[in-house]
Order: sequence, then C-alpha cells, then structure tokens
Amino acid sequence: MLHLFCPYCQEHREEDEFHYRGQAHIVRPKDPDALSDKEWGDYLFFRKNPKGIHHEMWYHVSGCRRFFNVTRNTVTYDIYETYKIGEMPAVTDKEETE
Amino acid sequence: MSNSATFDFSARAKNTQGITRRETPLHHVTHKNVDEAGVRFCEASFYAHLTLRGNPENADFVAGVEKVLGTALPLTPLTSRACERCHVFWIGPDEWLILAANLSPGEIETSLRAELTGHFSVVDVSGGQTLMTLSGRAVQQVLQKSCGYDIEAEFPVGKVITTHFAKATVVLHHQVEGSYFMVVRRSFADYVWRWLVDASDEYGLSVSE
Repeated sequence: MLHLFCPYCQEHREEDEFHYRGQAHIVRPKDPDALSDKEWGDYLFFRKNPKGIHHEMWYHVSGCRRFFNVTRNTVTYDIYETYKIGEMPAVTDKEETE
Repeated sequence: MSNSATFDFSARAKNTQGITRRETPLHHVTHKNVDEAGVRFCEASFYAHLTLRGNPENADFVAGVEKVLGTALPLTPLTSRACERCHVFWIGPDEWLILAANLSPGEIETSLRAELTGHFSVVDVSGGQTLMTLSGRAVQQVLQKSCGYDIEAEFPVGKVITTHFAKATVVLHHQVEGSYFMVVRRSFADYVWRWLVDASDEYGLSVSE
C-alpha cells in the first residue's frame, strides 16, 4: 500500500483514503476552435504511460477532499514528492525536460 | 455477560404536537447495556451541523466568523477550536465544520449571513449527519481496530481528522483525553453503530443519553 503525504493535511495517510485521478499538468487549450482534430483528440484522450518518473494527480477523497500532485516512479513505486495544485514539480525526468 | 439495562433509542424521535416529528439517525435501534462497560457510546442528538467555506486569507471573512461564533477559525490543518457556543473543526484549507449543541442551525446561518460579505458559503447539514461520542477505558482499542490511522501515536487531544472508520468516511475529533467525537453521515449511522456493537463486544458496550 502507498503511503501518501497530503500537502493540504500536512501528514501521511494510507492509500485507501485517496483516489488516483490520472496524469497531472494537462493544460486545457485556450482556443479549442483553432485546434485540428488530431490536436483536440490528443488533448482529450491521449495520456503518457512512462516507465519511470510520472507526474500524476491524486484526490484525498476521504480526507480534506482536495486534489494534489504526486511525482512517482512507475517502476519502483517510489514517491519523490507531493505538491499542491498550481505548483510545479521539483523532481523531473531528464528526457522530459529536454 | 450480564445485561443490566436496555437502552431505547426510540426516545430520540421527538413527536411534539404541532412540531414536525424529528428522528435521530439511530432512533430505531435498541441495546442492552453491559455492567462493566469498556466503551461508552452516546448519540449526541439534534446538534446543529454547518459547513462553512471561505477564503482564510480574507481577513474580513476570518474576523466576521470569529465575531459570530465567539471563537477564531482554526486555520492550521487538522486543528479545532471550541467555545461555550460551538465547536469548529478544520476540514480542508477553505472548509470548516461548525457543531453546536444549544443553537439552532438557522440561527447560526442567519447571523453568519448577516455578518459576512463577498465570496463564502454556509450550508446547514444538520439533517445529513449525526454526532456520536465515544469514551471509556477501551475506546482507543476500538478506534485502533476500526481505523487505518495511527490513533495511538498521531491523535492528541484537540486534533480533527477526516478518515476511514470501518470503510465509512467519518470526521474524528479527540475532544478530551479518552473521549472522542465522531461525525457520521446519516446513511452510514446504522452501519457504523452495528460495527461498534461488534467491535466493542469484547470490552462491553454501554449506551447513554
């Protein structure tokens, strides 16, 4: 079981208090009408599935009921950091930033 | 096991003439009290429960709430404040739960609405949840086997947590040493009560008004 640090409650809680809510930092296009169908489809449906570092959203559904972000390694299940919505990750994959 | 007394919850359905019949979520169950009870249960009926939301960085909001409630809003996560009028629990960074025994929820809501301006929300949730109080020498053991949360090490007096209790979401508050408040949704009240009867069986359970 994962042990997640909720940045709003400021303490660790067990995984069953949380829900996984998919990839983090997906920005809604400002002008959807200007997008091609492919770009719109990519925004709506296509998600990363990395082997290694992944930034993902979690929901503290049975606690403070806030969304926050987690940087997690999908291979080792290591959790590097958790941070509030609106903040940027401190730990990133090298390839990702290039 | 000696069963000394039967506690009849049905007394908690108020049926005064001319007033709408009010029932607590546990009005329908009965229980035989045990002499040497390790766990003491009480349904604190007909409390006012209000959910208050607003921006804690807005000084007018914080000051207005303090003026109405008589106690400051707990702004630190997982803390609570209490005064003679009410208890205020931190639920989230912009959300609080107000509990009051002797005030009508309408009274609190009206005075909050009169005092506060701008972007805030106050909702009367009294009918949707109920307050249970748990105490007794074995209460910590019962909580420990019902919650994944580390009740023994991480739950000092005054702290408030929203967590799982036997898979139901509850708000737990360590009120005074060895005595806990538990706010449960109305639809989960019967289930949590039945769980408590079972979990407290080995220590003995007694129920009081």
